[in-house]
Amino acid sequence: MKWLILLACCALAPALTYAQSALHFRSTAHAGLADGEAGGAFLLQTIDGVSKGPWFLGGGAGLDYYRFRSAPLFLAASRDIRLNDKNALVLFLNGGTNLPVGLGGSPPFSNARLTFHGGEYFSGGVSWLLGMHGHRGSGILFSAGYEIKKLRESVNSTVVPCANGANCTPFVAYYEYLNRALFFMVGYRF
Amino acid sequence: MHATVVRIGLSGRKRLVMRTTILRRTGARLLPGLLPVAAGILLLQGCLKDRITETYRIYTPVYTLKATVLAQINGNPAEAVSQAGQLYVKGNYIYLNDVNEGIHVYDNSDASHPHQVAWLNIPGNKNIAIKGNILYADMYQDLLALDISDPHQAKVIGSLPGFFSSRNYGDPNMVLTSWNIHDTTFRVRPTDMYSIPGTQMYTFYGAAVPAAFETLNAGSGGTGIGGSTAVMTLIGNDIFAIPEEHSLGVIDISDPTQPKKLYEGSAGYDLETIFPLQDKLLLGSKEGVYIYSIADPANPTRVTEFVHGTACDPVIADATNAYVTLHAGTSCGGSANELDVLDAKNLSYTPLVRSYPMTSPTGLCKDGSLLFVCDGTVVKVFDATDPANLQLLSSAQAGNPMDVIAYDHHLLVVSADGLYQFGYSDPSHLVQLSYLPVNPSKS
Repeated sequence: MKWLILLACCALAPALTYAQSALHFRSTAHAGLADGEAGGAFLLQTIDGVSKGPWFLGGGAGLDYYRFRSAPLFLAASRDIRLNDKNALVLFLNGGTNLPVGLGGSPPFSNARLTFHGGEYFSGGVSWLLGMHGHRGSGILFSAGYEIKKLRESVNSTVVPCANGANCTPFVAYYEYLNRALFFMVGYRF
Repeated sequence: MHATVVRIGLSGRKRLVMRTTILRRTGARLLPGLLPVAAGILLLQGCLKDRITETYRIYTPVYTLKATVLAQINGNPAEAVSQAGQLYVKGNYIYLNDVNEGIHVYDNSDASHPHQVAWLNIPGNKNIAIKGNILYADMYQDLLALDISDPHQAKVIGSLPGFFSSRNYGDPNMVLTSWNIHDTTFRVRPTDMYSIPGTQMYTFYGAAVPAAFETLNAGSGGTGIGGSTAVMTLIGNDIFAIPEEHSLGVIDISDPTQPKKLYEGSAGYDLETIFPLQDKLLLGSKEGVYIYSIADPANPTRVTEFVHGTACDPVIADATNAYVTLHAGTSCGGSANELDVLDAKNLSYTPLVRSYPMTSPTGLCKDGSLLFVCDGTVVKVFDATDPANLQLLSSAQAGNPMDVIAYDHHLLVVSADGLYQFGYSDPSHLVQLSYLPVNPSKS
């Protein structure tokens, strides 16, 4: 128990140190690659919010091409761990929803109709902040992390052969996708 | 240089001992750090696997002995409609097919307040025809004859097994009466996508889509009126029907207790509807309309055919014109949504008079110079005095109308959401008389 209290004190100490700091607007833009079972895919993200001391809270949106093109919308939280005046490690955690983008419709030569629905989105990882002189907290970010994004797809089709429209029996199947990938991104924070 | 001297100066055994010692010390320092990394890598292998699950529905058929099913068709108490199908009118009674379930019987003496009086529990039923007190209905592949003198005491008095051949599902002594339904979820590999199992678990389709159309004066006075999307029609002592998509069949019902198949032969492609016109039959197909002479009912002969673009197409006709609706966006194919009017004075040559654009037309019917067409969410009334120049008189919302019957200034519209009844004493102003909703939760 003593160790836990000591650990909590150590973790909170920086926060208490900066407790009197003012709020600052902070924005981050990222681009990178995700890699998982479905292969590599392009990622794009922007996060905006406010920081107080080492803590940051904001909202983010992105475009994620891993397995399916989707747009994560999420709440973002992060904490800077200062290494020196310029550089820092940034631990981040994001959570929200993952919306399909431009998915669905009917595949060619098929009577199926595909409809996609959103699901949950989570990501987390660590960034290396390569800071700039005179701009504390700003700089280039090299990030690595892990993401989970969900999508739901319904496939409506007619059982073939089907003689008369009024008698055709619809076939409906649902797919749940839990996509998991590592990602590496480069971005800029100011 | 110093290091070299030292190394050279050591004996082989000493060098080995020194290397082992260094490795042991280094390993001892690195191991605690490497173990979590190795464990992390192993864990990540699992964490990077996508998980895809598929859920689909399996229908397992439940069969009942045919003798038991026939004994249960006895004018059961009224039941809610789950899926409205074909419509048939005779006298003060409305007969509404509940797709694959049976027939609801309504007393329509007061058109503003029709009420259900009986329920004929006929599994697999889609078609209705009535002559006198005998109701003819399909039960999957069989044709049944029911005595409905008293709808509450209806009983099966005859049958013709196996006539609707496309709806044959196996054992002729059993009847499919219900389905056990359960959802199944399983994990799929990404490469398995769309190789979906179970898609053919159940499909019951048949030539039998809709009901029967018979004009008020189409025969012996004891018949009723059906809709334009019928595949079964009754003329005199004969039932003409489409037993499967490409055939025309004739059943002799001069003895209702022993219906006999008179004829069955190839009649066209993708047949959908059947409409009687004098001594002719108009068979609507996805590709066009086939016209058959039934002067000799035991031997129908093709007179002519006319072809249109591929589409679902109920057809009706009067003495001078035929009216065809083309409905796109279904499994019938095609892209046309229109009403075609054809010159039918000479049935061996039926040129197109005019096409009228529509939204999504389905069933239609005619009463005198009035033409009624189900189109999209409304039923439309046209003045068809000049078929080359139809005049829209009025329209009324009717859910998702599928077929329509007009008689004695009553317009019965069967829709996906129920049965509507309108008055059209003033054709320019349809007045809704009643509405009987379906109860989809029942299914």
